[in-house]
Amino acid sequence: MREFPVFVPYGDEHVAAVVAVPERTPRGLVVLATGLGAPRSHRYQVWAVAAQRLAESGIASVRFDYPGLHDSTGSAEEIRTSRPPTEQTMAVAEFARRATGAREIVAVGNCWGAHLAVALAARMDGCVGAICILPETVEPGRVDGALRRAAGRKVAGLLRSNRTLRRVLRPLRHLDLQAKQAVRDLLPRALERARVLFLYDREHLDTGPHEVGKVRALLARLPEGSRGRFELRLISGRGLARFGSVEVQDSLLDAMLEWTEERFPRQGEAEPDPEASLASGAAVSPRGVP
Amino acid sequence: MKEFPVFVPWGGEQLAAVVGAPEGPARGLVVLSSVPGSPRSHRYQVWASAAERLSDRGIASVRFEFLGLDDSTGSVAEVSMMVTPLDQILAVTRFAQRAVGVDAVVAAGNCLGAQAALALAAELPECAGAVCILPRVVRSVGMRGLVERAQGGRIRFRLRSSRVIRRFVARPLGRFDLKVRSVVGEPLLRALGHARVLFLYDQVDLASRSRAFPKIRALVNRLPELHRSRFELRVLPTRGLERFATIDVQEMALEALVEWADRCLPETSVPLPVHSSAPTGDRSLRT
Repeated sequence: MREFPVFVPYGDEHVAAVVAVPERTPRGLVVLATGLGAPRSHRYQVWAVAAQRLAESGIASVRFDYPGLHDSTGSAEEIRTSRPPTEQTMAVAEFARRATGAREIVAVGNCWGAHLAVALAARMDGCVGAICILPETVEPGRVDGALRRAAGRKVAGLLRSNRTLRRVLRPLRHLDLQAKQAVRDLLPRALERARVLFLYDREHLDTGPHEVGKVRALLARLPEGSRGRFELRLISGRGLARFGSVEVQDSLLDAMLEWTEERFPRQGEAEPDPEASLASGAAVSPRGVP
Repeated sequence: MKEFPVFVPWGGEQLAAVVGAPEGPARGLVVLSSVPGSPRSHRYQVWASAAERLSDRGIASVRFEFLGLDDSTGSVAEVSMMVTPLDQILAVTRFAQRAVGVDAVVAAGNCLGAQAALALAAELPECAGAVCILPRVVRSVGMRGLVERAQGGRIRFRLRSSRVIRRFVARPLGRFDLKVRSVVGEPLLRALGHARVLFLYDQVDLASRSRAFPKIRALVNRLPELHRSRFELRVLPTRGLERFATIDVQEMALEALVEWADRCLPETSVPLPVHSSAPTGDRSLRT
C-alpha cells in the first residue's frame, strides 16, 4: 500500500486528507468520514487500519479532516450536526477518484460521518454504497418541540431531573420520536440507486431499539426495490460508539471489508496502471498555493 | 504560508508530519511535538495556528505524530512518560531542516511533547531554544513513591478518597517527598548550556504544582550565571492551559511560543543548501 497525504482545494480553503492506494489498479474507492472530534485516522487509528486492510483487498481509500478542524484550513465557530459538510466531502471523494483512477465509491462514516455517507450515496454518481456506523436516525417530534416552546428549557430540565417523572415521560418521548430530516430526505434517495448498511452493536440495540423501529417504518413506505438495498447488521462486541475495544474494532473492520468487497467485484487481477497514478491523475498542491 | 504534508521515514515506519514554510527564506524552524491523544494539529488546531503565526514571522515549522499514533505507521502497546521518544523527534527535525533549508531550531511541546522538546534542545547544538508547556518535572520518591506503587496503585486511591488523610498526611508528605525526574532534569541542564528554555504554566499549576517550582529553581541555580540566565519559568495569568481549554489561554500560549521563538532565532535567514532530494510524502509499507 502507498499513502499520500494531500491538501484538497475547496474554495479558498484546503481539506487535509490521506489517499491510500493498493499496489495494483484499485477495484474501487472507499471514502472514510469520521465522527466529530476525531482526526482523520480516527480513534485508535481505526480508519488508518481500515485503509491498510482495504488496500490489501485492492481497494483505495481516502480519509480526511473536516473543514476548520485538525489539519484542514478554515475556521469553524459552530458545528451543526444538522449541516454536515457534504460539498467538501464530495470534493474530497472526487479528488481521490481522479487521483486513484477508481470509478465506483463506497462511503463509510460513523455518527456525523454516517450522515455524510448517506448524503454521498444520495447525491454522488458512482457511489454504489454507504456504510453508516451508529447513525443518529431520530429526533424529538412535534409534541416535544411544542412542549419545549411552551414550557421553556428550565421546565424541561426540571422534568428531566426528577426520576419518577422521567420514567413516566419516557414512553411518551419514544412515541414522539421521528426519523431525522436528513434520514427522511436522503435515505430514500440513496436507496434508489445504492445499497446502504446500518451497523450497530448489541449495546446500542439495548438502548436504542426505538430508533431502529422508526427507520424500519420509514423503509416500509419505500418501493420493494429500494427496501431490498437496505441492510441492518449487528456486530459482535460492545463499545462501537467509541471503538472501545480491540474486539469491536476488528468486528467493525471485518464487516466493513466484507460488505465493501461485495460492492466492488473482482474482475481479474489487473496490472498497475501508471496513468492512474496520483501524480498524473490529480494536482497535489501544497496548502496555501492557489 | 505553504504547508506540505509528508511522511518522514523512521526505521521501518513512517511518521506523519506537516512542514509549514513561510513565503520567503525561513529564519529558523520550530518543531512542534504533539502528545498522545491529540493529532499533530493539537487540540483546537493550536499547533496549526502556531504554524501560521510563526510563518508570519518568517519561521518554518514542523508538527508531527509519534509512532503508532494517528496517521503515523507502526503500533504502540503503551505510551509512557518514562521514555522520551528522542529518536523520532530527531528524525523529524533533521528532515524538516533539510526540507526548508535552515539550521537553527526551537523545540516546543506540552506534557510528553515538552519532555521531547527538552530532549531535542539538549541533543542538538543548533537548537537555540525550547518552549515546554506544563512539563511534568517532579516525581514521588521514598515513602510516597512506595505508596503509589503498592498494590498497583490501589492503596493510593484509597488514601486519596479520604479527605482527612489527603489533607493531613498525603499533602504534607507530597511537599517534602518529591524529586526532579531524570528525563527532565538531566536534559534541562544540558540544554541550558546552549539554548534558552521556557517553562510555561498557568494559574491552576501555580496552585497544584507550585511545590515543583522550587525544585526546578534549585536545579537551575546549580548552573553558572550564563546558563541560569537562559532559563525562564513563566506563569500565565489564566487557567486551562492543560487542555488549551479557552481561546484566552490558547492566545496566551501562542503569544508566548511565538515571542520565545522570535527571541531565540536569528533575525535574518541563515540558509543551508536546500536538498532537492528530501523524501516526498509517500508512505510505503514494507512487509
